[in-house]
Amino acid sequence: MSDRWRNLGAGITVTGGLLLFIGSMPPTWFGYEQGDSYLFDPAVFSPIWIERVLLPALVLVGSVGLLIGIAGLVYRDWQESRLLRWAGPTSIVGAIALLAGIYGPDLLTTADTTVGPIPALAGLALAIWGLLLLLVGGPLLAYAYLRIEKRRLGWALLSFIPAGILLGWVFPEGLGELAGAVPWLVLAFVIAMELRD
Amino acid sequence: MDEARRDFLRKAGGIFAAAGVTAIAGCSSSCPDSGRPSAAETIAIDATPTGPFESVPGGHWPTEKGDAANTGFANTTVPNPPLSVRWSTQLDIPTEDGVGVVASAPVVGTDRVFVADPDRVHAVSLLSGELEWESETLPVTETERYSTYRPETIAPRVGPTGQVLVGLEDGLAALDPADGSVSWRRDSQEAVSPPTVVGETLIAQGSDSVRAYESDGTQLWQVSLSRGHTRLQPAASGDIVVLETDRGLQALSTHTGERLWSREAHVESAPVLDEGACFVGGDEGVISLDATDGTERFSYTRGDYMALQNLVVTPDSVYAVEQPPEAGAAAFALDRTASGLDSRWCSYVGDGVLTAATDGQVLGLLTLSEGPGSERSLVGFSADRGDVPWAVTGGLRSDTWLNPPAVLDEAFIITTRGGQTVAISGGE
Repeated sequence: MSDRWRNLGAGITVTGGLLLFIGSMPPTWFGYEQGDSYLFDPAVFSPIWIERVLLPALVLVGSVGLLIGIAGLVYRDWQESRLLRWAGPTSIVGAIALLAGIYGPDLLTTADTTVGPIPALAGLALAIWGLLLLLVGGPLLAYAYLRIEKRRLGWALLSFIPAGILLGWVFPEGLGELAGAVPWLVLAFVIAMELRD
Repeated sequence: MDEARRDFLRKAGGIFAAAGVTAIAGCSSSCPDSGRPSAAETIAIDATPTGPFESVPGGHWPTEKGDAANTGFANTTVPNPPLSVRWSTQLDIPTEDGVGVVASAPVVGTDRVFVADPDRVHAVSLLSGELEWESETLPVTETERYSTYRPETIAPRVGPTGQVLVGLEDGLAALDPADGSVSWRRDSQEAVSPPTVVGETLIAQGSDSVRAYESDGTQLWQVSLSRGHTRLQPAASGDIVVLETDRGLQALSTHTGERLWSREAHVESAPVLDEGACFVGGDEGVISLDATDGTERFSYTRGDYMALQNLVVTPDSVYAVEQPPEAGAAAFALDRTASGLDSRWCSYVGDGVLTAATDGQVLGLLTLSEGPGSERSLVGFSADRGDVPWAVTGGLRSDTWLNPPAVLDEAFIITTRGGQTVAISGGE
């Protein structure tokens, strides 16, 4: 992998982490209030539009950015360990399936109605399958990096989800989501540094 | 044998899967909103009255649906919170086992509120709520029972000269608004729906005929027509009256009774006439017909099995309640555009209905929480976003359930099924 691609991957990963962090902003910060009804066509850049359209898009794009960083690492370290060759693709496929299961049904549904039963069930099945792959592949990928002496990355991969849950639980509602996104941001920076090493 | 069994199992599986998907598809509303609204401010209908109005509130509400065309639209503004009960009057209505649940929705004439029960009509002062008169015994038409939000007795109708028109189980009566005495009575029809009025012409639909009268009771024309089960007020505007039949809808000339057009439909809520269009809600969604010839202008649907009912039509909006077969209903606000209707907002309303609207708000009857402790309330939704600035809560017992309100300038009149009649305005 050339330096140019490493730098590009690191930039995408850090951007992804920042987008994830911004996407976790408490809705009240930009004036959003839960309404009594569902508004079909909120004005662009209105608080409802930001909450319903912009922030999910940022989270989706940010997740993809993070995934690109992990994929870059796995590609770079492909020859380092057999465990990594199993755990890396498993984690990446799991993450893609999870994202597709969560966001796919909404993206395939027109804006003025609910997600139909078939896309909803298909999305749920895809998300569950992706989550199972991630639950198996994620810790194994972290362990693989610990075994090849990349401890910083290994511990970051192993701890960012528990740390996110813990911070989200410790901080009050609203701020908790943002606090829970901090470990994701840290992970993005760790991945970026590893890519540039 | 094995091949045949596999083929059978495959087909059976396909049928069950299709049935399952169909069932699931009809089991939820198409509205993405799934929680009941929460009102910013609530007032109980039995709150302590603050005293009579200083002057008679303006506005007209001569029928349960506000006008002859069934629009439910009041060209006025509803009061802003904080709300207050101005007066409250308990009417003497018939009871069964000590509980009465048969009061009609209120209608409002120049300075009186009229409420019917199956035995008589009551008039109270709009200014103070004092009982002014009760009519002689009259067999006022009753509606089907067990309808959650439709009163069990049809409402009276304020006629063109101020008289109070009452659909009866055996015909039609006109009462003097000053004292409730019967001015004239016709007993040639059965189970007359709330009569409608166009100009000076009164149109009364019974179970098997439609008759038009002048305001003095002189018959103008009659047509044989078999009515459906809902006993709705016919929608009338200009030259056309649209009536419910046992097969759908029938349009007649208001001048001669000539049959203009008909349409087969499953009618559960009243047709609405507005700006040359007849809006019909039903299993196929909202359909707009040309009122003169019945041709379809456009239709709006939320999907298969999603009936749209209880239409309220304003100059720029159509409000409808989507009723999935096996799930809670949702209220939809739809923008009227050149080509049809566009969704503006929707709100989960459980088993609620919409009853009336102004330019700024639409009013609905619904419960604001789930379960047996939920009180049936009159709720105001803002027209632009569907927010709920206020609610008037009724009670848990069926005699405290609220009927559709009469909407006036900065005030509305509400009755409970048990006959409590209440005037509400903005706070002092």
